[in-house]
Amino acid sequence: MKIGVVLKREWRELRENRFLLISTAALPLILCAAAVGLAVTTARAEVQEADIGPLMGASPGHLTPRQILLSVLMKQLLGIFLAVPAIVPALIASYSVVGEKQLRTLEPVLATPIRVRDLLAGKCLAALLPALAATWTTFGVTCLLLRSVLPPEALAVAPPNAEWLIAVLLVAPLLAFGANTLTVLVSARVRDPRAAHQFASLLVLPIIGAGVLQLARGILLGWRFWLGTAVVMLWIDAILLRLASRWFHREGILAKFG
Amino acid sequence: MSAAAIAIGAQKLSKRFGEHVAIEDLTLEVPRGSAFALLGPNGAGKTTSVRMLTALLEPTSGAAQVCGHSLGKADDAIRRACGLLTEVPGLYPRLSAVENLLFFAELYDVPVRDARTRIERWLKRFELWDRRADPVGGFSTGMKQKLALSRALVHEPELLFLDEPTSGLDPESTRTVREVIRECTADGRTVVLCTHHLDEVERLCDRVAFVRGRVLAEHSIAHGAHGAHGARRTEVTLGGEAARFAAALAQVAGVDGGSVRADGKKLSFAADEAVNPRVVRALVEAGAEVLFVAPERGRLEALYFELVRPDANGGA
Repeated sequence: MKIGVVLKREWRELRENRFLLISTAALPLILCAAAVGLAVTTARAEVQEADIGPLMGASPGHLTPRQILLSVLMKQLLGIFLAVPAIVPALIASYSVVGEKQLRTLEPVLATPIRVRDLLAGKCLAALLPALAATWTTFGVTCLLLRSVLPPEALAVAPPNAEWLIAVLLVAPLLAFGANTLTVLVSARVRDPRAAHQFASLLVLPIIGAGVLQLARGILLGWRFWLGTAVVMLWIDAILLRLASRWFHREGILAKFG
Repeated sequence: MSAAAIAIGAQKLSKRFGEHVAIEDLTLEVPRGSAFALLGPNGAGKTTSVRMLTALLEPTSGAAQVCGHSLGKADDAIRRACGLLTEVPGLYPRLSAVENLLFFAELYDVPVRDARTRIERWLKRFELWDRRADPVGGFSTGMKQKLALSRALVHEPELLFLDEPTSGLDPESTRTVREVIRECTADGRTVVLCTHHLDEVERLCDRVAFVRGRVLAEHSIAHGAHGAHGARRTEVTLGGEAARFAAALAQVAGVDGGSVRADGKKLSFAADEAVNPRVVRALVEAGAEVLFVAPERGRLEALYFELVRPDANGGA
């Protein structure tokens, strides 16, 4: 099993790539700061029923207008928050795979007795593990900060709750896996890491779009939506994995990336 | 030749990419411990041949045994037995020289302690030891090439495939690399060289295959008519008409294949270097004015152009 050898090498390179490290760390930090800042501002704002219009009808009756607005805001943030598991692995994988393509480092690697699945697993884990670590750490830190700065009234609608837990623990890994696999597939066709990264980041757009739909249509997406999203992501991942397994044998890798 | 004495035995190996035939009916027999050259223009199928023989590409047809292992059946054993220097060094620029080599040593299952010893040996041999901790991205082309060659050697392979090993190297580094190649064959390793440097082939190799989509011809570089290994061709430039002294040359013991070169002023022959003083003496005694004695150059080049030019051999 050479997965560990590949993983170690990938992380050594990641450690030396300051641009990539800063890009990877910046997104979770910005999202955490934005979530806390917006929540605190909203929790202190004067909110009337008229201000939130149709959302009143879509919300549980026991919530105050301010809680409803905060709840909607948290739901919006959840969609945006999932950009972390979508963008971080795509960013790392695009530099890793396209980088190997540009430097033509794959031929000597494939000439060793490494199994192709070990090589790919090592590369995938090198992108997935930091992405999930960033997602879960950001989630944990955001929850802790919200719990410490929000007034008691606002805590009823603040994360963690069922929808956040399903999204972060179930949808995020599936999304990260999909973004990573899509990046690797797209990387076979492009010579610029940014192109692969941007294409894979598109995966998160439907989720952000659903968040926007909440505001436009006055509906609130709950845990069932996120469970459904997980099922769809599982299906998308299965398709991507099937495509990848067709492409990634020694000869295929050499032809596309060598 | 017994199977144990053969490093590569390829029988009608072919590779097609869709309609394109990269190489067809590659049949080779490379003895263990020898240096063998694949010569041919760009796109002749040399790299494809090497990639098939190192189990990177699956042949469309044909069979091969590499270091006693059957291609397609024991590919991992073939990969362990082979070292490959690719056309482009293909190193990780953010990693140091040692980190690059350690990564590959681990992929070849070399125990870390052995790997460190070997890495130190090769980096010192190639005068890279002082830069061992520096990121490879800052290395010169020549340094990268030497590091890539160290990588190909770090698992002590039986068989080395070297694609343009002296490309981008200064004369001093070129000499070091050539010495290492000679040491490899002296240690019993087999070396397959893909190069455009005909002079390098003449200096380093025992046999050469001319390739252009298929093997056009195979020749011994050590050109003794009776297979006298190591008998290089030498040419003597005379002050007058060389043909007059051809008979004197032919009478020297140990001289083979004597001929008059096209310019009429040179005699060419195959003999061990130790025979050369006797050749000079015989020619002088016969009345010749000997101007130069030098290793024969250009013979392989003439053969190359004769065989490989597009209109030769049906433009294959």
